[in-house]
Amino acid sequence: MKFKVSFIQASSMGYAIAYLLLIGMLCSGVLFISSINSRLKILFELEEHMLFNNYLSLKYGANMKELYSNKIVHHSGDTTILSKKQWGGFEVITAQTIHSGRKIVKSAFIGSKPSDDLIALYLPDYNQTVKLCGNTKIEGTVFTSSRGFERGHLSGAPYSGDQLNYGERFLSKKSLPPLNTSLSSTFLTELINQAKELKHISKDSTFLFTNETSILKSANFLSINGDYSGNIIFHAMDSLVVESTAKLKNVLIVAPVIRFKGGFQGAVQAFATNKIICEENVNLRYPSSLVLNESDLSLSTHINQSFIELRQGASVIGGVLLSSNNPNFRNPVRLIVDQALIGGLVYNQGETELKGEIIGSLYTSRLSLNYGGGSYSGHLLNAKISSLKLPKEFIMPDWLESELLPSKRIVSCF
Amino acid sequence: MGKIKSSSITEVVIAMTIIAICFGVASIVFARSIMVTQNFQDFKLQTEIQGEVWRDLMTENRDFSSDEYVVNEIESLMPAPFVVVEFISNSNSLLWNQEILQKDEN
Repeated sequence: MKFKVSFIQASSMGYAIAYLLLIGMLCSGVLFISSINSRLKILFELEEHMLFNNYLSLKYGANMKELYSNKIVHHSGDTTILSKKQWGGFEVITAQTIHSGRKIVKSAFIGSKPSDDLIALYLPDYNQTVKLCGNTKIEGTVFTSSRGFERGHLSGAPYSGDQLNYGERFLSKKSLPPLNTSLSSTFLTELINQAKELKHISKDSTFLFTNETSILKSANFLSINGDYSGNIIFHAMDSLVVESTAKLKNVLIVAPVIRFKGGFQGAVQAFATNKIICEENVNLRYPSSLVLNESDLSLSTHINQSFIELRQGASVIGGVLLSSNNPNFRNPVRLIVDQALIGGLVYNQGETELKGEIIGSLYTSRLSLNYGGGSYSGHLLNAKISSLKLPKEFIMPDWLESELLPSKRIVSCF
Repeated sequence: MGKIKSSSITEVVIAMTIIAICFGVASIVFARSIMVTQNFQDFKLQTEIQGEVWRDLMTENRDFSSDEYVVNEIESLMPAPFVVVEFISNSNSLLWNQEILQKDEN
């Protein structure tokens, strides 16, 4: 048997070059991944710093009475531009954080942090007794006349509580605490005058607070039935109806008469001069406010009483304010809460008819009750007022005049 | 049996040298790239610090103390109440720095 031995050619250089190429490719891959990793780390840190600095600037701006500087240069190289304006019962602050072409824009509502000893009920000293009937319960600090509370009895519903009020009671002054001077009615007029008028509006629109305020005006009646949020005012000269299918968030609505149709849900600040009606199961989420400022024009053109009415199952979380340029003691502004809930601050220069619940503070000139065809002054029937149930984090509208500089907090950020 | 050409030995030597250099360079590249990447422990600490900073911003319950890092306060580009806090790990690497608002002592 004969074997043929073949020669193996020595080609180590070929293998070495192949190895060189392979290792080169692997090294390039490692370098590429490493560089991407470093780049991503820098980018994520940059983004994280921008988010931190943006929120930090909002917090800083919230506590500044006047923004002495609207530009903040951060340690990380970011720059934030701040702007602040009154938006209904709250202030709105906007922060734009910029870093090498990247931008983060956030807005926030700010309001006052309530003091630790939050007042549940404040009634001016008109030397009148308040009669408590049925399942009425008042929890928290109260300010009343020296005559205070009494047990009452209305139509077979005697007062069921073992104490008259669950908290401390102090003597009130002859008038309600004054309203914040910065809360002038002119702010709304100025806001409306400066806003950019829209000729038409698409059904779903978001308006940024960094842009100019937009306004949709109607010479008489306006019906809202779309999805709108942000920096827009709906203004009707006669009456405005918010349909139950509408979706509103942080918008302002202004009209002499405003009606929220039953079942509506949203965060709205409503300003009226004659009437605001929240039908059954209307849910105005935090931060919402209802403001009725009875003007001289309203007094002369509307024969009916000016009022805010919350019907069964309705709720307003934020604040309710009723005031009058010329208070009429015979025909005062009126708040009617009928098996409804208000969370936050309620300030009423007129009469309050409370047959529901207030979690927060009620400042009212008078209490009244219409029941069984009769009208009773200074009566509460099945009413609940509690300042103790209000969460500590709850931020009130900045309506009350305070000697101390109120501590401002961010209500919501969007 | 045939003889291997003498030039092949040179070729093998050169080839082996090339392979050795390749291997060396690859090792250095790999080691450097690993060094550049943040180690997992530091990354974990950085995430915890960011959580603490967010908690401070949201709730004002400031508690930056930890055994795993040191907190230094330095001046900010902006006047008070702005200050910058640096979080430095026990291995002396900067984990995070963040501008914060000084707490009002009153």
